[in-house]
Amino acid sequence: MIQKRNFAHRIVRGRLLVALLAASSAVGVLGITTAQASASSRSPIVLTETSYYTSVASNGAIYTALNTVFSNFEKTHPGITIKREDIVNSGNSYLTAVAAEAAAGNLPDVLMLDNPTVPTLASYGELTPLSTLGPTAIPTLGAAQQAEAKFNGTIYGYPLYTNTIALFYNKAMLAAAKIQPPTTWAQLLTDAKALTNAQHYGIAFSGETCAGCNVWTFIPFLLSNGGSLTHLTTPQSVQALALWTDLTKEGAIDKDFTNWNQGQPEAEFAAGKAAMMINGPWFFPTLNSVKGLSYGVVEIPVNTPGQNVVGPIGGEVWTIPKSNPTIEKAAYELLNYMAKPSVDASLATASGDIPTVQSALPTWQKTASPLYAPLLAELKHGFVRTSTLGVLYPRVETAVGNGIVSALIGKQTPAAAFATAQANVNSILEGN
Amino acid sequence: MNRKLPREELTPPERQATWSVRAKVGANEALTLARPADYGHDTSGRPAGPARRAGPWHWMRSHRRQVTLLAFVVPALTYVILFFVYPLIYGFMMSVERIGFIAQSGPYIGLHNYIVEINDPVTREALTNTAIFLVASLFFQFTIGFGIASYFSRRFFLSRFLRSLIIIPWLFPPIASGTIFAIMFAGQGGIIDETLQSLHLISSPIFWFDSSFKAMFVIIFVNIWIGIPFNAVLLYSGLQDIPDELREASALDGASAWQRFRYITVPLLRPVSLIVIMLGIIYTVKTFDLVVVLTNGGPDNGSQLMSTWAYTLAFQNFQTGQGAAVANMLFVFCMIVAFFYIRATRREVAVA
Repeated sequence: MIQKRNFAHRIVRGRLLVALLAASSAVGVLGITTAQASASSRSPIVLTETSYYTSVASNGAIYTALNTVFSNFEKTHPGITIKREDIVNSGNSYLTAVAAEAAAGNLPDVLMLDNPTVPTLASYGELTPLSTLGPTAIPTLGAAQQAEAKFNGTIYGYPLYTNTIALFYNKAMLAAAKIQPPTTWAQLLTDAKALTNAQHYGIAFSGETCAGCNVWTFIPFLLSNGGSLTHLTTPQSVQALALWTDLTKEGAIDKDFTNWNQGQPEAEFAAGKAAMMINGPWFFPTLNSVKGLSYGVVEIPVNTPGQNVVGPIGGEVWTIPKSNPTIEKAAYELLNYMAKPSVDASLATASGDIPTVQSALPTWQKTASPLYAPLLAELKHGFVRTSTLGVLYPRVETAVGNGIVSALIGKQTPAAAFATAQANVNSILEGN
Repeated sequence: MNRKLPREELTPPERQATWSVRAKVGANEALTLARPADYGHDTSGRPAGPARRAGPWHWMRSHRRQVTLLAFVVPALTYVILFFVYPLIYGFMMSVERIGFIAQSGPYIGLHNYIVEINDPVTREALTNTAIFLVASLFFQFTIGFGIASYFSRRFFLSRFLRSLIIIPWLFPPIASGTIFAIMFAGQGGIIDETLQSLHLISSPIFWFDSSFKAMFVIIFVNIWIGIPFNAVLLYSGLQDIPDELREASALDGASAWQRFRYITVPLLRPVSLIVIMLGIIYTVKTFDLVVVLTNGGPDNGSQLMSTWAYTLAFQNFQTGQGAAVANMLFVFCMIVAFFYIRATRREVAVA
């Protein structure tokens, strides 16, 4: 449906453009190029925008915040209108729909992507290298986002807001057990054990192999300890996995967690069935609305004190699929508008994330909850998932995820599980 | 061109031929549509008619029957080609090309995707799991379904009402059933583990999703639950078709209950059973949504079926070509079963 509409729409728009160009040249309006025509807002341009924010009910404030941003942009840029063609993301449906649009040559003019998928689309030549359109807003972003925006050295999008994961804890439960939030793995293990009783487990987090599930949660443990997604057999990597298997062996986590994505841990924590959980700030609004729940957020514990917590960098990247210079230029103007400090701060606030435009941080911090402090600290050493793996990240994620689950269910020892996973990762890296 | 022709001139002689119904002599009566001998567009032996005239309009008028036949065939053919043949060919093309995230045509790589997938341990696991899933599901669906069908073949108080309730699991969307069972099988607060614990049958929750064996048990269990009504209803109607006189007569002849079952019910139920089992194979082998909701193929591909594996490859790993290869393997298997199904139903119709 969306594709068809898009297609028809493109034809109409294409013809309109040709007609307008013909008319303008006939009248003898010279001295403006097609690109400038859009900049001067003479010809009506319709930009199609696609994100997975489809409603307030499913995505909260960011849905309406985008509407506000777009209508403000339309006011300051007469001649450009934005048409939202959003796609629901359930499981992998958003990416599948985008792949289908790309195959049919019907990508929207402005496309939001989850950050690990940008290299995949860029590698097919579907995205416009942004520096070809003019100076980019990339230098205004944080260092990690500057890296995240690039694939093979070319800038393909603006990561306008970011997030990561941290350790949430139920204040009442920890107080009852006279426990301070853990800062080391040893403390995490003993505390999680001590916090496990008939009413609740010590901790909850995602253990299922899926995009943004167990590997995403595992990255802080793996990388803070000096392990690596591509060097899984090192002692540092195996130690991290052994911590997780110890948590299951001690019964400190619901064994069903190998079947959990990000949603179930939040449900357990909100229902008081888990004293701690590892999750992200996108759950702050829901958790704040839970009656009687008082929670705190701290950095994820490290193996030995002094290690830096490495947070996996989450968030969405705004890109411009290839179309024609006029459209691309208009889309570029929209992206630059969204990267203005005040606009960026409003988008980050609405999505429950952290702005990436550095000058927007002070404004944002004035109103942001103190719960974000540990997230900000972790992002100082943030890990861009696609930085070295690029297009291979999703497959490596699956291979590592399966290794994690294999150890968690006791099918293999942590060392053996990661030896198997390493063989699979090697095979992927070799191009099989 | 537009000269009006007398009606007879337009009408080929075969038009007058009548469709006759011939009854075969013997125990089996079959309706046979007798075909007129000169059916077809062979006009030899007849005076040169308007068929010889040039122009498509005259051809159509002189070949009215063929045109009519074509008019019936073309929509069906178009539909089949557009919605079955084309996707099939496209799916095959994808499986012999190197195709990734964006499913445009890629370079031809022969059977590489098939070879890679056959050598992939996950595919083998999925194949084994699918076989176990198929055999276990069908066996229990059929036996329990048959038990229920026999139970309801006797009329008793509320039997009709209860019989109509039996169909309910078949009516639920598998996504809904799967989600509800996922909640029921949960280790914490799930009704199954809680009940077993309160009965002191187990001391701690079972955690149904933490091993391949248990995860397979859960998806098979739920699939059996879903499939029973289908088996029960079809077998029930099969049982109803067995004339009571046969059983009564054999009882009078001194046949025991077992002998009546073995020599009357089983052979007479054979055609229905065959159909039930073959449709069951096709339904079961392509089970997908249920597994995605319950286990998503996990843990560590422990409950991965060929269907979910094809999906994972194509739409999660974006190894589209390899996903297509796995899907085609599944398709070939279904085609073989369908072939036997069609052959069996034809033979049964001929025998019956």
